[in-house]
Amino acid sequence: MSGRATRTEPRERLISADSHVLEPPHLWTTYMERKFHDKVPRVVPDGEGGEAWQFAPDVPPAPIGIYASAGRSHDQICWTGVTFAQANPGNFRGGPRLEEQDADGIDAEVLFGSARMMSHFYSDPDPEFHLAGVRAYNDWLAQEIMSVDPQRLVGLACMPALSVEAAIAEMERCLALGFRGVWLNTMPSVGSAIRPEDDPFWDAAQSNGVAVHFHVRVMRTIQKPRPKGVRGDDLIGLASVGAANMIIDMGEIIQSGVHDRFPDLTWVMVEAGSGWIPYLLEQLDDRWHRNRSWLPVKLEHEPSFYYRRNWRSTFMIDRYAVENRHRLGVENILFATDYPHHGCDWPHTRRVVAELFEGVPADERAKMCAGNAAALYRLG
Amino acid sequence: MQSTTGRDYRIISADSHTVEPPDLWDKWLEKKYLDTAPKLVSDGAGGDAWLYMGATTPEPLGLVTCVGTRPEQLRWTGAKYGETIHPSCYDGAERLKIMDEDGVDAEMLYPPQRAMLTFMKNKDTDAHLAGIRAYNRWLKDGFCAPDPARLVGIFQTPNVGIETSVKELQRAKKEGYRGVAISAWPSGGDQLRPEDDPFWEAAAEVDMPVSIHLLLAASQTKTVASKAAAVAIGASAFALTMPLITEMIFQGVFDRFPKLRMAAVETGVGWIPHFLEMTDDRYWRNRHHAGVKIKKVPSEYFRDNWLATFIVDRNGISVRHQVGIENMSWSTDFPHHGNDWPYSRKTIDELFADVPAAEREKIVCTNAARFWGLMQ
Repeated sequence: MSGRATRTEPRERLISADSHVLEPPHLWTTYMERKFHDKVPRVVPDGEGGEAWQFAPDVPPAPIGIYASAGRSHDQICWTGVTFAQANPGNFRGGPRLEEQDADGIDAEVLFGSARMMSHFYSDPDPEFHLAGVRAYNDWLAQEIMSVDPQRLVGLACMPALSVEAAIAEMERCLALGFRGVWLNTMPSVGSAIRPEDDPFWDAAQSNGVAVHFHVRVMRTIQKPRPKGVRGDDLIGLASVGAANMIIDMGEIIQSGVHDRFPDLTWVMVEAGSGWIPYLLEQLDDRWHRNRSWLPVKLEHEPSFYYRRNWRSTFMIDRYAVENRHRLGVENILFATDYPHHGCDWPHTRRVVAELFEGVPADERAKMCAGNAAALYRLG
Repeated sequence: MQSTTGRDYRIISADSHTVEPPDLWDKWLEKKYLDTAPKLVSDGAGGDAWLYMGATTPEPLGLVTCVGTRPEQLRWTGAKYGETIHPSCYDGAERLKIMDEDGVDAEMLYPPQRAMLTFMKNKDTDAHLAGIRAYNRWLKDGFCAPDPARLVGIFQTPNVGIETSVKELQRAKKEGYRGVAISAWPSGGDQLRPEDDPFWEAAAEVDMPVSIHLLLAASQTKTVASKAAAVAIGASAFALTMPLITEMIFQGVFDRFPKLRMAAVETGVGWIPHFLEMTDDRYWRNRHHAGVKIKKVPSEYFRDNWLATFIVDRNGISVRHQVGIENMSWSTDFPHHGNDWPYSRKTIDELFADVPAAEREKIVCTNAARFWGLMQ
């Protein structure tokens, strides 16, 4: 295609439904009261020329390298050796983030933080500290990132893992600040699986008209942040489709009957990929048909019905999902870059999108690349 | 391909099951270990249930003994040996008759996992071994004896250390078993490690295929699940198999033992093209910093070293060329609650309506026959 043809065509809108921020060194001491400062995570040298988050004195520091790897060639991506000063500044500053979006040709991003960072607060025995940490993240995101351009920097409010009441209160506080949805790491009542005690939260989210998001997994127990960068933990996570947990979680949530009670609530599974979904839906339906007479929870519809009505999923490189978009539902899947994590192709996302969606009709492509996200987050 | 048994094969179930006969342990387990064996008790609803060692609630049998059971009759409880439980569940001669009614020529037979685990969780390794050996003896000399060309018993590997795992595998080969199943990594670790290599080496050397039935139940932590979600968990259990496959590939097991053949059983196949695409993409991105040193692209190891089995999987059949026509095998799961007896042929006709005959033949018969040595 000639340069001229490119210029005269209207520019295709592109929204990443899953991108990340890297919490900056000043976040916790700026946004949390002084009395908590002795327990907040702090930035320390990673021992290899880079920087790392130290969560607690007895936990090995977690280097930031891999989370700030955008733009590096694959053989330059490393867990260690990267400082905050070397990372793209848009990792943690709104203004530069817009420039980085422009460099990549991205119109807007939905922003997630670090679940491992949050589990530092979740695992603390003091509920006041726990809540203060969650609120600090949300306040920082609202004041330093979203405020720069709320249409392009779409914030989701991180939920505490304390109780349904605490989660509802934080959701409502954040929605008033301009957040466009909520990011849950645990079930709101902090059970090991979805249960009726969670219902008031789903009710409140549905009434507020916002979607609930799970990123990669639902934490079934709260654990202290573990060091990363050691074999065993990583390879599975990096190489075997982050989906593994969410596959089980989604089936379990659908089977719980929650969608009959809250038919208008939308659930988004993030960074779990999408290509596996048609297989799972067929299996869920087949097994539901065979077993529904004895199952204790009576569903009003077959499981795949609820997926189509209530679920969305994000995907990065997933050619199989794009090929199978009609089985997945063109309106159920949302493209994402994962910027600035190691799954992204910044600043070459446009080229990736061109390859990924080759042969897909323009109207379908527009939905997956932007329209579905624009509708979900009410972006202009 | 030629039959190695003198029998013709047209339909083979690559994943079926045995159920313990009520007198299995009394007859086949050494007397001194009888107190460690599962006990048959009432399920409290008119049926039988096995009380496994260490358990407080007995496990009923309704959903693992479904022979022509209609969906609305499915219940966990109420199934009773000698009355409602069809003898084909635990008696080989009876199984052959019922296979004839269904049109199934041969079945690969997997052990009742709850019973195996009761022994495998026993801290007393002698009792552990005795229980597993009793099952394997009954499988071969009891259940499968009426026609070993049709009843193909998959040997249960014990979990008491790498030396025993290797010796048992070699013994299984010598005694004529056509496949082994593992319920833990062969050296008993929480994760795959180099200490497991002697087992892979032995399996490759004697050409014994190794099956993983969904997960490594003796070591893999099962996700907490409510009863209500049991069906969903069954549908999504392949999520527990995926990391096992990638671990073996990324740790270079197939580079060291290229002839090793693995089966992922009851996992379904429709998810595999997505899985392979993701695994390859992440391999290319992360191989440097993750220190992955393998000779081929991950998906190539799946194609060269793995077979996966499915029950009803229209999606998987429609994407069979992306799964690999030779990497998938149909199964009934008989007599578990996913089976369509006595209508398996009808199920196959529906599933394969648009599939060329040569491809269908591989998936419903010859892939499994070749994999477990019934044809060559």
